[in-house]
Amino acid sequence: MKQLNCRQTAIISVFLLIGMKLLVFPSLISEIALHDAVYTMLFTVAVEFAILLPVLFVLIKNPDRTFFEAVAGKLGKITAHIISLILVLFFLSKLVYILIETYAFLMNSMFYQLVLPIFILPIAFVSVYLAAKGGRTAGRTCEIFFGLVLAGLIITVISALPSVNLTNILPGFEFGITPSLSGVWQTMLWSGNSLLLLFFMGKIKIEKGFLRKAVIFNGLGGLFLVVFVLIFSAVFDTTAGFFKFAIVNLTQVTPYISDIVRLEWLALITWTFGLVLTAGIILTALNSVLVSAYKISKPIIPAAVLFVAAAAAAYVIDFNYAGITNLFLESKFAAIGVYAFSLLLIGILLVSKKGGRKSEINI
Amino acid sequence: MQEKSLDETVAELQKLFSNSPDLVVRKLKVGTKKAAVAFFASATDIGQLSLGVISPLIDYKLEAEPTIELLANEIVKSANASKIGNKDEYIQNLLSGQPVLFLDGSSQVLQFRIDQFAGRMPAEPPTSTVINGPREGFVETLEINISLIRKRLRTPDLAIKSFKVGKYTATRVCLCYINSIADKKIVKKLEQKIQEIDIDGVLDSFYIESFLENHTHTMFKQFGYAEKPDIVVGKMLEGRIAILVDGSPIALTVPFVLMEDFQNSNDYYQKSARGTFLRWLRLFSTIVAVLLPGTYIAVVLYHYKILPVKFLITIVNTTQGIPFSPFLEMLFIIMLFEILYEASLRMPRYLGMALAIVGALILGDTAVRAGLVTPPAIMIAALTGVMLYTMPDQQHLLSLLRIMFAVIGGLLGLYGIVIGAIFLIAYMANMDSYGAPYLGPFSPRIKSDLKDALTNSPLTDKKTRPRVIPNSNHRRQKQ
Repeated sequence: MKQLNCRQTAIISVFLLIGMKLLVFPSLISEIALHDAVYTMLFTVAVEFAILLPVLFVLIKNPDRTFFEAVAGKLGKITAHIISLILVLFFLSKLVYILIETYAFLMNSMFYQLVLPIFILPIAFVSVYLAAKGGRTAGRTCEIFFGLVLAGLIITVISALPSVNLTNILPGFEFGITPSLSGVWQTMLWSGNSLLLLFFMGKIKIEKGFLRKAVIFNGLGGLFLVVFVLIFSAVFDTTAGFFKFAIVNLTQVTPYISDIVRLEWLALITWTFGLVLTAGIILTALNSVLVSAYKISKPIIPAAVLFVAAAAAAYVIDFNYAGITNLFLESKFAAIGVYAFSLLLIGILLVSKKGGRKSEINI
Repeated sequence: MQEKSLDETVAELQKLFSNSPDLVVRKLKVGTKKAAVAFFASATDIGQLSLGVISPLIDYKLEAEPTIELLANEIVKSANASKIGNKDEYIQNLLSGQPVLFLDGSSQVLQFRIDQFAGRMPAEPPTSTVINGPREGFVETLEINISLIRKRLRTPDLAIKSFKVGKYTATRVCLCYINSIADKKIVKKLEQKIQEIDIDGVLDSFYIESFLENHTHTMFKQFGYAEKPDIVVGKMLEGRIAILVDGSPIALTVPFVLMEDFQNSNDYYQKSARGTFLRWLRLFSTIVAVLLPGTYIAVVLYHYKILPVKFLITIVNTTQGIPFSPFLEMLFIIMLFEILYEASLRMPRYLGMALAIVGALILGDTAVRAGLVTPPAIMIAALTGVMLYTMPDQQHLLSLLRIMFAVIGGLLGLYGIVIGAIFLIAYMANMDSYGAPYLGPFSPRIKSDLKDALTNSPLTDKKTRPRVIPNSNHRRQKQ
């Protein structure tokens, strides 16, 4: 049964694109690329597109088969099981990251103290609910909140504009292109989330304009990321690397703290929606592939197991954002390996004559 | 039907209804044959019965031996006479107020639709008052309600399917729809579900609703309620199916989407800009009504730095010396509001004003003066209490949600409010009502339907029926 339409898929892909890149990531790339962080973000977006486009093509080519069925059709069931498990375990790390980042975000924006169970139980409840109900519920929920999250992010950016000093990011490539590229290379694990769309394969209603819609939404999402980092760098100059929570820090420089409304708080609240939804989307995607691969009749079980595993891993790292950031930085080779393997897999699914039914829609 | 003598049949009937003193059996002689008319005096129009049935029978002077056919075709003057051979059927009709005429030696009986139950005439329903537009409202009599619909839909395409539900009440339930517009699959599914209902009695349309819901254990309504025929016809023209229940002035409409409750019949009888403004106002009021108490608690308890300094000073000044935490204080006021609401519904109407004075003025004012609650909390509870009524059909649900978000805000702060809001939307996103997504046309987004969602475009722009409601004829006016 089709669960997602084009617009919902595009919105989900935007959440996956920006979900991990607005809190710690800008400061991280600023640390590596200094005031060339904006170029790092630009190249990162290019990498994201290089991964997203093949994913979109393979979704179009396999409109009626799930990821597991498509891989099993080409490489056999056992291989498909192994590949599904490896990818699920890999992307579970992103869920761990989102959990830790959300905790760090809340601790640095809303709460002085937040007891772990108080944090973890509600997000577990809502993420597992979304995952158990499947892509349709997650897609529709994201569709409703997309405008709100977008408005919050735009408010954040606009409210920081008066503090922007563009000379802070000039001259570009002062130390050559290497720092910018190094930023992309080191932070590989923050990219490639669009591969999670593969797990919704066969459940997306491929309609006319699917590709166009997905590219436009992601293009605008990428543009927002670049503008966000540009403003972040232009506001904090070479000290940007010390401001670890970009979106929180940016809201604090706004001169618009008035007597009547606190717009920056609205922005922070809306980004909480963004983070929780991103966690929900990742869990839904992972759960979706497990349910399909192992024919599980009660989707809530793998969803709960996956969340518990992610929460346990986050607990081992002590919900320490610095710890998981370092771990991610050190795991860039694993990321490259998984991305390369995934792209190879996509290639197999794309070029094989025995692929899924050709889409009847003129994209 | 097995032939019995008239006396035997009448005796059997009287035995069956030995506990019903209002059963009248009038024995007659029609020409050479004996006849009897049985009816319930409490449920039959005796004037019509006398003039249209009994008088012509008494006056019958022809030599020819009377038969049921002859009586039906030439003698009785009732407009609606039908021959029935099935005992269960005529007994059921008799119970519905239709007199039955027995003729000695005939295996068939004659029955007349001249039932007359006590009822009121159509008037403006108190729950759906309008400034512009029609004021007629449904009543408790099914025929009148159907006539109000037929008055507005003069087309052979108007389909009305009737069912009897309830072992003891045998309540008539009608499905009304426009044949060339409504989705046949939905009609079939509803028919099937109605036929499967096995209950002792149906006293209101709500009884039927419970059996037709797709999600039974939810507090969210899945049917539209309408007490006015213009609203029901408007919905039928969009492809919905109306369910009328004898004895209930509330028509159910299905499929239902949440957006319907942000719309009001008034919106369509005034300039579209005003309608659009009012819909946004209702949405805003609903969101504020549900979230404000919880947000207030969360902010005062956990995130006071969110408040601008002047506002914070005001709050701090008013909360000093209050024995309750903001959480308990708000819950106390909301519960007080709910109690006043419930009491005002049950109290005799003449006590209503007194209750308003005691509840709103004395209790509230005294509580503040006694230092038990703060003015901001009272203001928020009262304001949100009023705002709930901008969406009157969802008022009970919103009221519960307001309490839930107050509890969540008190326990988890703004983080809890965010989680609660996501769960609420996800829950509704997961629901559908006979093929219509509950949050449509926003999720999934249906661009053409947005013309009659939060915006109310002029009628001339609404060329198509809403896609969110499954229908078999999409075109509404010339493109």
